[in-house]
Amino acid sequence: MMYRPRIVVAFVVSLFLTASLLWAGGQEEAATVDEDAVTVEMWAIRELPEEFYQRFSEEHPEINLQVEEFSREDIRGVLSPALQSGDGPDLFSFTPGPGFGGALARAGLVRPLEEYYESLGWYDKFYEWTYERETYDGTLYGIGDEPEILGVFYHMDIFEELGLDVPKTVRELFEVSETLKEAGYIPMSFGNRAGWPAYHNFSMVANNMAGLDVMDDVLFEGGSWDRREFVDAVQLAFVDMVDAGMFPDGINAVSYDEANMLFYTKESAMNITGMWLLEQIINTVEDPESIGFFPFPAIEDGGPILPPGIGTSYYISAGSEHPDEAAKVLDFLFSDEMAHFRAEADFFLPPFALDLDRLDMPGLALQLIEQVQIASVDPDEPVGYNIDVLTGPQFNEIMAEGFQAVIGGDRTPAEQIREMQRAWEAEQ
Amino acid sequence: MVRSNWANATALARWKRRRRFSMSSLLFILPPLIVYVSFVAYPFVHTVLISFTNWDGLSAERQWVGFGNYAAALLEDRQFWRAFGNNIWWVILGTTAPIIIALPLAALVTARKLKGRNFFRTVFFMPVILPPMIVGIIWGWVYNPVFGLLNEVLEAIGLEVFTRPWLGDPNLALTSLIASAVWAYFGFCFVIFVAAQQNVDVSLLEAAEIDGANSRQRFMKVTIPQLRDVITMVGVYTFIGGFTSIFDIIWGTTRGGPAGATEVLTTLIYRRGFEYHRFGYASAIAVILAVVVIVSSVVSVRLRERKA
Repeated sequence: MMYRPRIVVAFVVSLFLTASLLWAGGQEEAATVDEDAVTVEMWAIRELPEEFYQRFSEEHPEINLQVEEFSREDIRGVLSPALQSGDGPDLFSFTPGPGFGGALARAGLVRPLEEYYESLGWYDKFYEWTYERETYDGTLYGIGDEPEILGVFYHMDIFEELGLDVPKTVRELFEVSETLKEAGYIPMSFGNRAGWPAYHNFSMVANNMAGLDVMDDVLFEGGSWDRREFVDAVQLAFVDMVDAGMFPDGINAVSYDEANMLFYTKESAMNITGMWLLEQIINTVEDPESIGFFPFPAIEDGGPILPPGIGTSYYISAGSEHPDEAAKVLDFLFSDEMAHFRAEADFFLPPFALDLDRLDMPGLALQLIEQVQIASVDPDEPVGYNIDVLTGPQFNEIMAEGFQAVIGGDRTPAEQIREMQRAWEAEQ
Repeated sequence: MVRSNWANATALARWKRRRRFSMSSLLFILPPLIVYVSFVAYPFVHTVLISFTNWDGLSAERQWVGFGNYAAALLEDRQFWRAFGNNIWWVILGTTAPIIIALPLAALVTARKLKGRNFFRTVFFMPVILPPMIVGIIWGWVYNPVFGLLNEVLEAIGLEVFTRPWLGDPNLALTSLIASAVWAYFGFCFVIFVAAQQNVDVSLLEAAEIDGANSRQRFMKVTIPQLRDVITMVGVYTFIGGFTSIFDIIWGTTRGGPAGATEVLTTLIYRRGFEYHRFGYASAIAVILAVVVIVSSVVSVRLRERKA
């Protein structure tokens, strides 16, 4: 057998280059750092802009920041074993809520952050409700990022064409839907194959139906879900609205993405979802300025109650050898400058108010950001709860399964509420 | 004395040879044994041990709860029994349907007169090479109530009365999924049966033909009895797969929904372990599943052998 050295060398070189590229692609690293810099490893479920790395290395040359990016799904599989084995990152972003960040907190895998909230002034800076939702068993563990609200996106041009106004009450919503159906549109996109989109519909309707006192009572003061208001909420969200033909056919078999697609292609005129869809809407629809947003209407008179939630949370690992440096990374990430930059680049809101005059972004994004900011700081603004990020996995599974069963006619709203109460008690 | 020494020396040499042989055999066996112990035996034993604890999969602490997890699964968890029932339905339909479809197809394809035999073999086998997740995605599109092929076809031929949200209706979702799994899997049975039918004793078929047996009778009375062992093997393999290899296709389409209608034990194990953080409990379900699969496989093979 004759060897061809050039081919072998070329092969080895290309292998090396490929490996280098793959390595470089998987790892983001701050550009210039001190030789004796401390290395901080971060796992992120959000892509951070190049600008972030550059500015961070300029401001903190004493920290060698290495960031590995994951999808929200992927990090769930690898994070827990990594943290348990002691090989995990120093800090990471993760899904908030008792079933995710809360589970890590209760297992002692993340570090309490009160000292940094105190020393770095985060208590004064961040919205109170965001860090209240990162408090488990009386201890504050995380930074709740990307505050968002639930509601309805709609095609303003279709509404204009048909002479429709934004509905202020549920009755008006049914009337608007009837007109849209007559004009050949699917009134509202909603795909519930995954089960979780129904959480949000329930949150919107339940907050409005029950009111804040009842929500507080149930979620924080030991009250029961087994009440007339919640049965009515399930009835409205998953029986009446379905029976009225407000959604596409077979919603239990329609995926969330397919439902969004119906909205983007103008087959449907409204889309009931949350603010996280903003970036996709702006990047997908032909004319983003023709898209509007309204909160889910009030049940009768009075203002609607906005249910805000947290999209992503940041934690420092309990086993981190450099928690102070990790806190500096977070402090930089949540600086005014970076927050403005991230909001403009990806429409991600920080957990504190931004100067709206400084923001350069489409009108829809500004409108939503303003609504979140007003809801977060104005004591007169009724702010409710995005329920699934406050409840445990068993309760959420009963919501997902049960709402599908109610939609399919296999369970009555009253039965579903009783099941939810049972799951709630089991998890308390 | 001399003879005895010679005999001893021979015995010693034989023993040394045997020992050398067994040592070298052991060396050959060792690598796969290490892999087997590391990736099969140890995880299995570990799973059994975890099933007796309340470990959440996250914290270092775990407490011994005895058979508590088993009792909770078997006596309290309605979802367990529903998933188990769905598994049984899947095993019954998913084991019999591919065999019933593949056997006659294999007989047709192996018939001497058939042209384009290789074409059919390739076409029927093609779905087998698709990963189950891809099969799930493809059939998710076929069944889609908004733009799915199946409803479009039904509408096009005037049968819109039969259009359904196939994966969205709790009464239809499981059977619809099983149909897609059968589509993906029958090609495997088909190829095995084609290979097996080429070993069927032709003289017996010819004798039956001379005796006046028609093609159906020859197939039922001569071919199938000779394929008995292969059918058993395929049946057991499919049966085990009906319990253990259906996670991907379900997760890729319905994720156990709607309303738990397509939940099976493997998806339930995932949910309880990774979503509920109840690893001890999920391990108990996994052990129950393993016991069910082992016992029922052994029993079905033994019954078949006794009949034979």
